[in-house]
Order: sequence, then C-alpha cells, then structure tokens
Amino acid sequence: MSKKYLGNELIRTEGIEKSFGPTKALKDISFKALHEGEIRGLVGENGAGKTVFISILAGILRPDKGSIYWHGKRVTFNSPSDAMQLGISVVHQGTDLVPEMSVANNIFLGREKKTIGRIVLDDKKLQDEAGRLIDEFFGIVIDPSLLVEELDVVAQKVIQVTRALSRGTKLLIFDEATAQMTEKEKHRLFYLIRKLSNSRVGTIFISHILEEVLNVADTITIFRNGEEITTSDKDEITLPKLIKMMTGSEKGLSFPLKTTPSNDILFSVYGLTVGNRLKEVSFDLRYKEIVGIMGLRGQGKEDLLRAIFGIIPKKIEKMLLKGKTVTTDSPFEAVKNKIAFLSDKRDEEGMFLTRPAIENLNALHWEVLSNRAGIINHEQEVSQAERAVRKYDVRTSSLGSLGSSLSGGNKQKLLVARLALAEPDLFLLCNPTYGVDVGAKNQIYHYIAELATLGKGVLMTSDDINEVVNLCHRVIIIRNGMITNILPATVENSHEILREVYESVEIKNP
Amino acid sequence: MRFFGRCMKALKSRIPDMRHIRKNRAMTTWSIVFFLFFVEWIIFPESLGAANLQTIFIIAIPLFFATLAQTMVMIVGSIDLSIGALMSLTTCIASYLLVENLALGIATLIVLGAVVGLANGFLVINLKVNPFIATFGMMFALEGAALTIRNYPGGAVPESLLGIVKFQIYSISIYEILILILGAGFFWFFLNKTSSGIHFLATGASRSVAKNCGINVDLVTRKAHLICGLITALFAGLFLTIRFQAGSPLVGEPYLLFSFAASALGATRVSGGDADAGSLLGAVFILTLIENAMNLALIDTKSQWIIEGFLLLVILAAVGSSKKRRSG
Amino acid sequence: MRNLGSLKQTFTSKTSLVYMVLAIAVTVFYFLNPRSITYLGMTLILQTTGILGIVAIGQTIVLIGGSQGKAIGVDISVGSLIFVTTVIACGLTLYDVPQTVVIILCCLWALMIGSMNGLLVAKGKLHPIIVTFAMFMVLRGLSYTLRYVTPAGDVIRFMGAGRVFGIPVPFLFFLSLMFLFVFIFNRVVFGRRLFAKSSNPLAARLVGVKTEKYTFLSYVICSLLTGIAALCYYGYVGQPTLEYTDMYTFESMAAAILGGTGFGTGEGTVLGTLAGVFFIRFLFNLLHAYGFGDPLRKIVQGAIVITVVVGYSLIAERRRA
Repeated sequence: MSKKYLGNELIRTEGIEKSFGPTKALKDISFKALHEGEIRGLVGENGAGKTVFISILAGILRPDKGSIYWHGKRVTFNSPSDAMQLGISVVHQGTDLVPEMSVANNIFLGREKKTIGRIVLDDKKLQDEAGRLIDEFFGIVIDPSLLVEELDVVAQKVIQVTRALSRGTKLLIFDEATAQMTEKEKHRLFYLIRKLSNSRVGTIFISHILEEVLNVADTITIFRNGEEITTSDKDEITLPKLIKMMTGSEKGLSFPLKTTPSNDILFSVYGLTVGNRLKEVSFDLRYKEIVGIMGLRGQGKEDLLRAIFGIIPKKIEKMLLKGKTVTTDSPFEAVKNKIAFLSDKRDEEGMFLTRPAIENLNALHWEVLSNRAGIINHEQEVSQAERAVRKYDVRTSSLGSLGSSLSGGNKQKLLVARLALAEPDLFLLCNPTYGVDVGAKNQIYHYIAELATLGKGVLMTSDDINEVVNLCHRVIIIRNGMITNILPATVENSHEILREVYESVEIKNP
Repeated sequence: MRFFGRCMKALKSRIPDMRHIRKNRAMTTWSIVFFLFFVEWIIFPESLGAANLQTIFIIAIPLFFATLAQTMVMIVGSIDLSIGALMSLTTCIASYLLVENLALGIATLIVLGAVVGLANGFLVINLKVNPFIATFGMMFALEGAALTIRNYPGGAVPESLLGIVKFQIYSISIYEILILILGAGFFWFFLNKTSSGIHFLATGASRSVAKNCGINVDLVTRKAHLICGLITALFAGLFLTIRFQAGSPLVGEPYLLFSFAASALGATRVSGGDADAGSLLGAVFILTLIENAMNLALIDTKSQWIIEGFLLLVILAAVGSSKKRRSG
Repeated sequence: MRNLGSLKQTFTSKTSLVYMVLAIAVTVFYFLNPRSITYLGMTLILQTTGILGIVAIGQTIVLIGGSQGKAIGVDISVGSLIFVTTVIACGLTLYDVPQTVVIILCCLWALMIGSMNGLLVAKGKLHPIIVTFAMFMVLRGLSYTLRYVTPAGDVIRFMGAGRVFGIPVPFLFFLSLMFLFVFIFNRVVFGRRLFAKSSNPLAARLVGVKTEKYTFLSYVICSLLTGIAALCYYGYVGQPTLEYTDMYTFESMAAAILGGTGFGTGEGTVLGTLAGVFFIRFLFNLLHAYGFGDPLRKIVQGAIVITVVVGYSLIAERRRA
C-alpha cells in the first residue's frame, strides 16, 4: 500500500549537469519531486552519480547546468551554509560529531546561546533540552550527559539527526549511513527513520544494500551512469527489476579477448580471517588467471586484498605462492615476496604527488636498477621509465613533471605501469578502473589482460559487472565476510552473479 | 517489532566510562602533589616554614600562567613557542616602567601581550604560516627585543606589588593562593560554563565538525592566540618580574619547556580539544615542588635543567605509552 | 621525452627561485656594503658558512625525513649539541687523548644523541618538537655543569681553522658533504626512499619502504653531521659560547626553509640549502657591518625568514590556483 502524500513539495531538480574535466558525472538529472514526509531511496552502482548529486543538493558542489526547486521556487547554493540555512542536512557514514564532548554539547554545538539564552551555560538545562528533543523526534531516551564516544553507532546517528532536526532541517539526506552497522543496529535505525516521516521531514536514503532501500523507502529513484532512469513507488518494483535497471553498460567500453588460464595453481589462501570482517576465506588462483572479487561495500571485499598484502593484521592457516609458503605480515614482506598492490585511493595511497613521474614509475623496483651499493644506474632508470610511459600511454609533459600534474586516468595508468615494471608474480588490484575515463579504462583492461598472458596472476576487486564478466575468468563473491560462491565469469552468468552479490543480508520485516 | 523499551542505553560495552577517567585525573594529580609535599617535608623540615611556603607560591604563579597561556592555544590545536621570550621581554619592560608609573606599566604590558597575541594569530591564520615556524620566529624577535632593552639583569619592582605577594597570615600567603585559585577558577569556568569555551574545545577536537556547526574556527584560533599573549604578558611575565624583583632578558626561557611539561602532566591533549583546570594546577605544583626541593638541596640551577629534562622525557614516554594502552 | 641529467633533477622550480632571491640579495648587499664582496670578506664568510652549512644539511634531512604521522620533523637540539660536543672534545683533549680518538668519540657521542631522538620519534611516536626540545634542555643543563676549556689540538684546529688553497676547511667539508648528499638524493636508493616517505608515507609503506627506519635515520644523520660541525667549530673557536651555538639551531632551520625545503612535503634540495646558508650568512655579515647588535640582528632575521616563508607559500598557492 503506497502512502499518499498530503505534504507539500519539498525539492526537485531539472536538467542538472555536472562534469569533472572530461568525465560527465551527471547528465540531465530531473529528480522527481520529493514531498514532506516522503522517504525516497536513491540507488545506483558506484560511479552512477549519487554522491555528486547529493553534494549539489547540499551546496558543496555547483551544477554546470540545471536548476533546483525548493518548495517550488528556484534556488541557488553558493556554499554549504546556504543549503543548511534552507534546511538541508546530510548524514554521512562515520561520525560528524565531536567524540570527546557530551551528547547535549554536540547537539547544540555552535548554538548554545540561542538555546539557553544566557552567557553562563547551564549544563542541566542544555541536557534537559537535548533529552526532550531526542524524545520528541525519536520517542526514545538517551542520557544526554554521555560522551558521544561512549555511544554505539546507531545512537550516534540518532544524535546526528537530532542535531540536524533541531537546526530546522526539512530535508535529511542519508548517504550510506548504515556502513559499519550490524543488522540489529540497522533495524533500529530504519524504525527510527520511519518515525521521522511523521514529522513532515523529507528523507533521501542512499544505500547500496538494495533490500535496505526496499525496506525503508516509500519511493525509489534509480541512477545509472549519471542519468536518472526512473522513479517508482516501492510496490511497483521488485529486487530483480531493480538490479536490472541499475546495471547497464557504459558506452564505449571494449575488452580484449580472454585467454585460457593455465591449470597450475599460482597462489592459494587457506583460512584467512580478519577480525570479524572476514571469516575463513580460502581460494586458489591459477597462472595466467584473472579473478574478480565482488561484493557489497562493508561485506569484507575491501579487506581481502589488504589482508593478503599485509596492510591489515590477519590470521591465516596457510598462504602459498608458486608452491612455497609465504608470510605477509607487512607490505615490506609482501613486496619482497613479489606481490604487488594497487590501492583504490590513488592520491592518498598510490602517487607521490610531489615527486617527479620518473620516481613514481620506478618506485617498486629500485633494487633492480641499482648495484649492491645502492647506486642507481641513471640511464637504465630513464630508459625503463621512457619505455613504460610509451607502452602504457602515460600522458605527461616530461618524466620530470610532478605526480600532481597528471590527470586521474594517467595516474592510474602510471600506477599500473609501476606494478608491471616490478615484475611481481601476483597482482592485487583494488578497483583498478575507478574514476577513470572510458579511453583509459579500455587501455587498462588491455594491460591487465596482458599481465595475465605473461604468466602472472591477477586478483582484482570491482563493482562493475561488465568489467568482471568480460575481463575476468572467475569471480569470487563475498558476503558477510565469507565467500558465498566462486562462479565462472561469463556474460551468461551475469545475472546469477549479481543475484549473489545483491541478495545479501537478510532484513526481517517488523 | 519488540524493541528495547523506551530507554536506549546504547552504550558501547568495551569502552570504559570515560567520564570516570576524566574526573579522576585531577585527583591523581593532586595525590601526587600531596605525596611530594609530604616527602619534601620529611627531607627538609623547613619546607613548611613561612619563607618557603611563600617561595613555593611565587615559583608556582608564573609557571601556572605560562602553562595556562600555552594550554589556551593547545586547546584549539595550535602552539606557541614564544611564551618564554615574551615573559623575558615583559620582565625587562616591567622592571623599568612599574617603578616609574604603576598604571602606565600595567597598561604597557596589556598592550604588549595583545600585540604579540594578535601578531601570532595573524601569522597563523591569515598568512597560513605553520604555528611552529610562526611562533618560533616570534620567539627570536622577542628575545632580540628583550636584549635590546636590557643587556643584563636589572631594574626593580615597586614595593606595593611586592607587598601583595609577601603578605601572609599565619604563614599562609593569602593573596598568592587567591591568585592561583582565581586563575584556575576562571579557566574552569571558561571551559565548562561558557559557550566560547565549548567552541574552543570543539575547534581543537574536530576542526571540520566545528566548522560545519557554524563555529568560526579561524576567529577562535585568533582569539586563543590573543588570550595567550595577554595572559603571558600581564600575568606570567608580571609575576616573574615580581619573583626576581628585576628584569632579565633570558629569564623566561625555561618557561616554554615548563609550560609543555606542565601541560603534558596536566592531561592537556597536545593536539587539542581537551584540558582540565584542576589537573593543570596540580601539575604546576608538581613541577614547583620538584624545583623547590632541588633548591633546598642546593642543587644549582644548571643541573636542575638536566634533571628536569630527563624527567620530562620519562614523563612523555609514560604518557605516550599509556595513551597507546588506552586506545589499543 | 628528454633524457634528464642528475643536476637538472635537483633544480625544481623552487630551487631556481631561491637562487634568484639569493642573486638579488647579493646584489643589494653589494651596493649597501661593497666591502663584503671582496676576497677577504668572502673568506671570512666562508669560514663560518662551512660550519653552519654542515648543520643545515642535517636539518634539511630531518625536515625531509623526520616526520612522524602529522607531526613535522625538526631538530631543535642541534645548537646545544654543538656546544656540548665541543666541551666534550675539550675535556678529552685536556686528558691527553689522541686527536683521532677524540674525533671518533665525539662522533659516537653525536650518534648516540641522534639515536635517542630517532627512537623517541620513530618508535615512541612522540612529537619531534617535544622530543628534540627536551633533548635541548638536557644538553643545555649538561653544558652548564661541564666546564672544560682548552685549545684544540692541531688536527682539530686544522679542521676548523685550516685552509686548503685559501679555502677554509669547514667550507670544503660542507661542499663535499653537499655533493655527497646531492648524489645520495639523486642517485642512491636511500635518497629515493627517503623522499618517497616524505612525499607520501602511506604510499611509501605500500611500496615496501620501511618508513620507521627512515624517520630514525634522519635524526641520526642530523646529529652526526652536527657532531662533525661541532669539531670544526671547536677547531675554529677553541672556546664555545652558548649564545653563538644557539644561533645554529635557528639558522640551520632558516637556511633549510629558505632553501625551499618544505615541512615534510617531499620537497627539498641540498643545493637550495646552500643558497639558504649563504643568504643567512650574508645577512648576518651585513647587519654586523652596519653595527646592528645581536638582539636586533635576531629580530631582523626572524622577520625576514617569516617573510620569505610566507612569500613561498603565497607563490605556491597562486601557482596551484
């Protein structure tokens, strides 16, 4: 039964466009009107444009074209505070609170005088008021004198929302707010969000866990490749339909022909456990094989490669590379064992932005270029770098240009080149084509395929089903920290793979 | 859905009640103070005498205000390396002016503190200079100024001020104790009972969150530097002059490190966002008693430095490891 | 894609800027005081420039590689280390210890101090400012208690006051060390890893760089270089003065910063530091010639350094925009 909205129209957009350099993140978004009291789910794959759109609504980014209508009137935001003034607040994952301060202090941070009306703060009054607000909005009681760092995740979200509401928020946007929450905690949060809709606040709820969205939302908007595909009532849509509409290929992608992997095992993992995020993961990787790893965020996929590379601590029964047991308690050890890692955050964890391109390129294999005393053979260094730049089409004005001068796609190609130059046996790639334009993506696909042909093994995480079925030989799906299935990566299997990925967590209906 | 009743305790089970730890640190600090005092009394019976009690307080007061000034900027996440030099400069100026014209002298100190504080704030915020470099440079500038005014110790302090400090009833230095209590009291009031104090703490604890809540973090930082300068000149420097009854261009030097040491001991977080008035006062007394004991033991000033330097390293190592234990 | 010579690599745009500033400054100074650019004037400057330069190289390395987390690497203890090392050398000489042994022992002493700094920062994860400041305090205290005064032996005196082809020995040390480090920074794996760590410690760790080791070594190298400078100082001066040795702390930092070394940003060249050292020394000389007493000199130096640093960051921001 769909809810009829007696509330007024709160927000809608027409023709929103936004580009970042050559990449067009949003192409003509006309967000269907959201009303007071309505909970709108917003879904789409990684890179579909959800976060960019939200940033525009919140005044953090300005659209290149298009308009936003608030209560039917056209508005422009010059800064986040403009949006806040109107009453738009975003609740992110993670905490936007001061952990060392109390609940009451956090709720009224910056507005203490307005709330109490005196110069001398009366803790008791602040706390009473805080408690009253929490009760009014959520109907629950939290001790307002507690420090935020003492609260659990859901309670912290409650405080964040209370703070936003007490500032007169009319549109609440939850951006992946359920990350790091357990099932029980999520149930509690949804219950509380539904209570909010009674207070005529409009909500936009973004999550990549589709069941959550189907559970909580009244209506659902689907983004795909920067476009709004459709907005429908919850009853009109089923999970398989949703998945189908979310996943469509980006135009212009081309993949190399798949080669056959060998039958010999290059790398195997037995009983890998990381805290409570990964449990007893075991799998094999053959020579010349590319294996994709898929799974929703927060289910353990991100931790797998980092654990193998030694970035995060792990418990493991056995790990064999080329038949020999290896330990990787630190990245240093992993590198020594000829394992290479490509992070998904190229600026924070990959590039040396203040160093020249030539140093960035050779960063993994200086020993090879130098003699025993550590002195680097300059000609070799330069010629290797030049060859790499030509082969991997890293566009930079010169080898001496700083890392920061390269565009995103070229940085990514440089990082791939860096890994390849080191000639490791095993490649661990995290989202290797994340945030990269189509041209560069195609190039990277070819490079990865070539690495496999040369006899290496590639493990890569990805959120793009197209990429996985066209590039990889097999795909590992991770759910709740465990491997639920390892399937052949073929176009025919895409539907089954997606089902494994998205039909993840169980949501019990109240 | 069967919920959890209306009362949501919502507590993380593994983190101990932080408030207990916080309340206890003042008590821990003061227990150490009384313990030290007890030990000192046993070794040096004269430490309970009128003369020595007076000495203890006159040592403590400049140290307290220097630490307070440093804590002010630390709370917002900044740092001030020019405190010692400003104190020296203050003593040089004060030892000239105060005897001539008390009011003018005090006014000059206020202006001096304000100018230095504003300048530091300007460098850090408007020119975006790293606070370390900015105040380091300021330190040299002020040292130079101090040396220009006084090349060697000299000058005097008017009797009226000395009288206030020396005043005792039954060997209890009333005014000195009052000054300390008022100072600590104001600080406590500022931190806990004013919205400004909360803004300072928030700015230091999570600058971005504070900004999102509409707090002008740049203004807050500039205010902190201004207050720091004022406290240093008007209180720390003035009482330092009274202590030595003279002005000296290098006398304030050690106070910079002392202010760090007392802050670390007094549970002020160096990165910002946390401070406690009670522990601060206690930490100041710990350092004071140590210095006092070494004076009574006739250890010369120079050796005291070594001992204090080592103590600081030991304390830092201990503080550092306990921090790791708590977060581990 | 042009082939890059090693020298070209050391000239980032910031370094060229520094040399431009230096050139302008020298011209200005010459017009203000022609006497400073004579042969005699230059050799006088070169004398103390050498000693300062050696320390400045050390400080440059700490600025580049001594950071720990968000805390920027710096060594505030260098000035007092010079003083104490000199006093120790005095003491040893007084007890008729042979010169070579004196030199070796002093270097070991410096290494020990550097290791302590390095351990506390790298392993103890303490803030470099506080660690080196505490070390400064300790060394200061030592400098008050230890009192040995005796002129240096011939070898050390040659180190400090000798000349080879008219050029003061400390300056030759400085130049050789400079070339050594230019070489290390540009052609040796150690240098590459140090700069990688400075530029992006996270990424460095992920390519297998042992970041803690490099933090530690930065402080060790700095203190060792300071020790060598101290021996030259002893040979030159014979009797250390606290105030002058203290200036080395500030001047070495100022020289490195003026030379374009960022605070833990992965930028920094030894050639830039060379320019910075000269700049500082010219300034000192000029101010001295104009009869500026010590105090005023300090003020002016402080003001100039801040101005230049602000200038650099403003230029960098405009370039970024």
